[in-house]
Amino acid sequence: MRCAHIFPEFGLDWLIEELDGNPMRPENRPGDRYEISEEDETALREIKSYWYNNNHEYRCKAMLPEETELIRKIGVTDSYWLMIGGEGHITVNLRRVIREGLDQYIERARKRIESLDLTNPDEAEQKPFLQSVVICCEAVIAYAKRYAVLAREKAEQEKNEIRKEELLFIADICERVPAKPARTFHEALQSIWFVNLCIQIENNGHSISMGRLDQNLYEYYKNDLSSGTMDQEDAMELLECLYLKLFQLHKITSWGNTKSFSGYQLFQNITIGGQDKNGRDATNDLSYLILGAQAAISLHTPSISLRYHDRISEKMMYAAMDVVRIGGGQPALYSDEVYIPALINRGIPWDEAVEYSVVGCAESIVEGKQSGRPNGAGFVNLQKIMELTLYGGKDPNTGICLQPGKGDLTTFASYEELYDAFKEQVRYYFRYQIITDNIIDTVTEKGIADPFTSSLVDDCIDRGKTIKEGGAVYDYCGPLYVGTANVGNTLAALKKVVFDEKRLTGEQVMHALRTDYEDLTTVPTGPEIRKMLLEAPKYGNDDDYVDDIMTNYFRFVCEETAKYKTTRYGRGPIGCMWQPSTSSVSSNVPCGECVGATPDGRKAGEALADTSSPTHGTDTKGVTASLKSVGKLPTILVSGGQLLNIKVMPAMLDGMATGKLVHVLRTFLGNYKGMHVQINCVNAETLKSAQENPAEYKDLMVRVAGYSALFTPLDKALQDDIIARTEHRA
Amino acid sequence: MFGDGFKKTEEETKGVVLNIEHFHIHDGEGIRTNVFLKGCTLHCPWCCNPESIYPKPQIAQHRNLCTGCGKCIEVCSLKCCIRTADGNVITDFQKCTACGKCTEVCPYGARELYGKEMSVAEVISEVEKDSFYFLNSDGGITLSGGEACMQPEFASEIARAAHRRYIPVALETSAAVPWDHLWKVVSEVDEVLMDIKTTQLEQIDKKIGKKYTKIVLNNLNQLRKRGIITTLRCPIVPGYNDTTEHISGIAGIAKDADIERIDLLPFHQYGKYKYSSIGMKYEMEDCAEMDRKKVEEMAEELKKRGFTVSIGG
Repeated sequence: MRCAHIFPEFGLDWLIEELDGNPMRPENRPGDRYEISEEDETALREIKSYWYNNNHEYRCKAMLPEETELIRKIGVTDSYWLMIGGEGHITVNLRRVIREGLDQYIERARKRIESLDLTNPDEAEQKPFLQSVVICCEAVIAYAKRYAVLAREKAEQEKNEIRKEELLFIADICERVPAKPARTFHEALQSIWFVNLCIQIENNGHSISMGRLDQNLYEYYKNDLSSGTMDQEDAMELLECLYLKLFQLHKITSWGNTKSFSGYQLFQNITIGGQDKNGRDATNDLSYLILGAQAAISLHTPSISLRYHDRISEKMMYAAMDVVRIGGGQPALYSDEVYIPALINRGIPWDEAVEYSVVGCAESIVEGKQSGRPNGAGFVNLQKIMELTLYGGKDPNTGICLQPGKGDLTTFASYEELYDAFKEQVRYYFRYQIITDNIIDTVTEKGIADPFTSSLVDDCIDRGKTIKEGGAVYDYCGPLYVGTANVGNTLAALKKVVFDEKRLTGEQVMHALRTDYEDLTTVPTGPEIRKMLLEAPKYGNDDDYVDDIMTNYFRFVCEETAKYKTTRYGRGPIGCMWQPSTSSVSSNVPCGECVGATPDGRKAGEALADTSSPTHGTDTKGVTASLKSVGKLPTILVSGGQLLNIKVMPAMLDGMATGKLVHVLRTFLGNYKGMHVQINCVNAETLKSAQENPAEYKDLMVRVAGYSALFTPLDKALQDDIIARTEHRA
Repeated sequence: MFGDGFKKTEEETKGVVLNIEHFHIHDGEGIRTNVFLKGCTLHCPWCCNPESIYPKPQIAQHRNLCTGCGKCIEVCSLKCCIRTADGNVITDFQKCTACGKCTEVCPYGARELYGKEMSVAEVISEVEKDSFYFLNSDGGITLSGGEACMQPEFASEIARAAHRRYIPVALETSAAVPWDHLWKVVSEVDEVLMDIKTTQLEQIDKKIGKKYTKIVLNNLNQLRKRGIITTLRCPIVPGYNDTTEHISGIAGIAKDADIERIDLLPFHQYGKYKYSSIGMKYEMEDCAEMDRKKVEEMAEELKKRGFTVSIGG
C-alpha cells in the first residue's frame, strides 16, 4: 500500500474543500486518486479550526500583494503549490553524511553552540537553529533504531533460520546508520534511505533526490566486491529494494496543483555517468548496475538521469538505449557540454560545477552545497502573456487589466510594435512572479525552518543559518516557463501573415481569435484564417525564419528572469539569482485551459506546448530537424534546466538502428548543445491514442520496413496494422 | 572562390523533386537525407511509392480527409474537381494539370501536390541542414526516386554540389536506365544501392517493363568492370519472386559482381492508400504481405553463402 502524509502546517483548507466535494473528493479524481478512511477524515475535520488562519498558506496570503491573486486568476503565474506544500527540490550532502554519520553532525552543531558569543545578537539568533539540528539528528537516529528494535523482535519470532539471520543483519545495520559512518554498500544505501525519508517527512516537498549515486557509492561497492562480502547480484537486489522504497513515497496536494504535477510523481532523481574534475568519463560498474536495476524494476519513479558528455563511452550510450527500449522514458539524458558551462556562467567554479547532479525534472544542483529549488517556483504562462499582449493588456476571460498596453493587435503598425508590447507585458508579469515567490520565501524562512534538511547542506551548521537564511554555499531559484514554443510560433505567424505579407489584417485575426476560428461568415472564414496561420513556419522544423524569432524572444525572457535576486542575496551564498527553466512538468495542460485561441493556430483551451518541445503536431520534418531547432535556443542561459521530450518507434531501437539514434543524440547533446532529452519509445497505446486524437500527434512518424510515414494521415486499416505490429514487438 | 564558381550552375540546373526526407537510416551509411526525384522508368505493381512514378508534379486527393466542402471546386478552372450525385467531391486526374490551386484552399489538408521543380541550390540548402548528423555518423545524401537516373543532369549536379560541400552521396537505383544515364550519376557518387527485382527473366519482365533483366544485368556488369561494388536490394514479393530459384539467382549475380551486401525488402501494403489518392489502379490490393519467416529463411540461406544480409534495409 502507498500512502501520503498530510501537512496541515502548510495548508489544510484545500483538502477540506475537496473532502466537501469541491471540485471533487480525492477518491473521485480522474487521475492521481487517493482514498481516505472515515476515521482520518473525522480527525482532519476536527483539526481544521486549529489551523485556520494559522498556517503557511494564511501567512503567505497576508503578506502577498493583491495583484498576486489577480494574476493567478488571469492564469499568468501561479505559485500556489508553494503556499500549501513544502519546497523539496534538493539533494543534500549524502556523500558526506554516509561517510561521517549524523553523530558527527550533532557534535559539530554542539561545538558551534558552545563557541557562540551570545552577546552578539546575530550569533544569538543562530542558537535555536543549531539546537534544533541536534534535536532533529537525534530524532532521526532514534527513528532508525526503532527499525532495529522491530527487526530484532521479528527475528526472535522467526522460525526460518535464513530469514532470522537476515532480520538480525538488518537490525545491526539500522543500529549503526545513519548515526555512524557506513562501512559497506548496504549500510551506505540504508543511510541514504533513512536520511532522504526523514527529509521527506520534515520538508513535505517533492524532487528530493539521490545525487550521483554511482560516484558516491562506488568506493563501498568496490570494497565489498573485492572483500567478497557482497557480489554483483546482491548489489543489484539492494538497488532494487531502494527503488521500491522510493516508489512507495507519495505526496498529496490540491487537485489544481496535481494537474501540473500529475502521475503520482515525486521526481526523485538518481544521477549516473558524467565526468570527473579532470574531464575523464566517470562511468563505472555501478552506473551500469543502476541502469540494470531500472530495467528490472521498470517503475516510473525514481528517475534515472544519465549525464552525457562528448567522451562518454559508446557502451554506456547503448546500455542507456537498451533501457529506453523498455519504455517509460528512462534514463533521461543531460548534457555536461551545456550544464557545466551554464553553471559556470552563474558563478559556480569548475570543480563544483562538474559535480552537478539532477534534481526533480531537469534542474542541476551542486549536491550538498546548494539551496533547494534550482528551479521550482511559479509557473509562468508565456502564451497567456502573449494573449494579453494581443488584447492590449486586458484578459478576454476575466476582463482584468493590470498592465494596459499601448495598443492591441488591431492597432500595432509593425511587427516591432507587437514585439515591444509583448516585452512590456513580460516585464510586468515577470516582476510580479518574483515579488510573489520572494514573499513566499520570506514567509517560509520565518515559519518553516527545515533544520534537518539545512543541517545536511554545507555550510549551514558552520554559519549557524538555515538554508533560507543563507546557509548554503550556492543559491539559485527559478520559475518554470510554460508554452515556450507557442509564443515563438505566434510571433512568427503574425510577422509573416499580417506584417510581412499583409494577407490578413490585425482585425481579421482578432475576430478569428475571439470566435475560436469558427466564424464561417467572414471572408476569409475562421478555418481559412487558421489554415493560413498554421501554414506559417513553425518551430521544430529547422526553419530559421521562426527559429530566429524563437531564439531572440527566448533570450529576452531568460535575461529578464536573471535580473532578479533571491531573498538570500548578500547573506552569504554565492549566486542568489533567479534563473530560467523550461521544465513545465504537466502544467502545459492546465495552463492551456485559460488561454483562448491564439495566432499559432491553437484553438481555445487546447494544451500549450510542453517544456522546450515544439508544439504537438507542428514539427513534421522528423526528429533530426526537431532536435536541431531545439538546439538553437540559448541553452547556456537556461541554468535552471531545459527539458525536451521526443518519441521514437521501437524499430529505432532495433539492432543497427540504435547506433544511428546514438549518433543523433550525440549530435544534439554535443554539437547542438541540447541540454536534455527524454526518449519515449512509442508503444501501441500511444499509437491508439494517436488514432483517436490525430490533432495531437501530427508529428508522429512511423518507420516500418524502410518505409516511413506520418502516422495520423494513414488509412485506419493501415494504422491498425501498425498498432498490431508494435504490440507484437513489445 | 571556394566553389562559388558553380553558384550559377547550381541555381540554373533544375529537376522535379518528389520530396526531401530527413533521417533515413537504411539507405546508405550513417544518417541519410533522402532526395526523392520524381519519375520512374518502371512501374512495378508492388511499388509502395506510386506517386513517384509520374515524372511531373501531380495532385493527390486524400479521400479520408476530404469533407466534401467544395472549396476546390470553386477554384479549379479546368473543372477537375467534381461533385458527384451522392455529394462527394472527386477528381478527374486525366484533366488535371497540377496547378496546385486546390491544395492552397483546401482547409482539411485533403489535397496535396506531389512533386515540385527545384534547383540544385535549393535541394542542397535543405540537405546541408543535416551536416552535423552526417559528420557524426558518416552519413550523407541519398539520391532516390522514382528513378534518380531518369534526371541524369540534375542528379549528377546534386552529387557534385554535395561533394563541393564535403557531403557524401549515395545513389539508390533500379539501374533500369540506359547505361550512359546511369554512369553519369554513378560516376559522381560514393555508394550505390542497386535493385534486383527478378532473376527469372521474361516472367517478370512482362510485369515491370521490357527487357528489364537484361538491361539491369548489363549495367551491373559495366559497373563491375569499372570497379563499382554495389549493395543489392531485392524486393521479395509473394507470387512473383519469393522462390528459392530467385535467391540462388541473387546469390549468383552477387558473386559474379563481387557484391557482399544484400538487403531483402519484404513486400508490404503501406503504399496501398496512395494509389487511390492519385487515381491509379493498384493490382496488389489482395496480395498478402510477405511472410517474415520465409524472408528470414531466405536471408539465412544467403548468409550461409557468405553474404552480409539485412531485412527491410
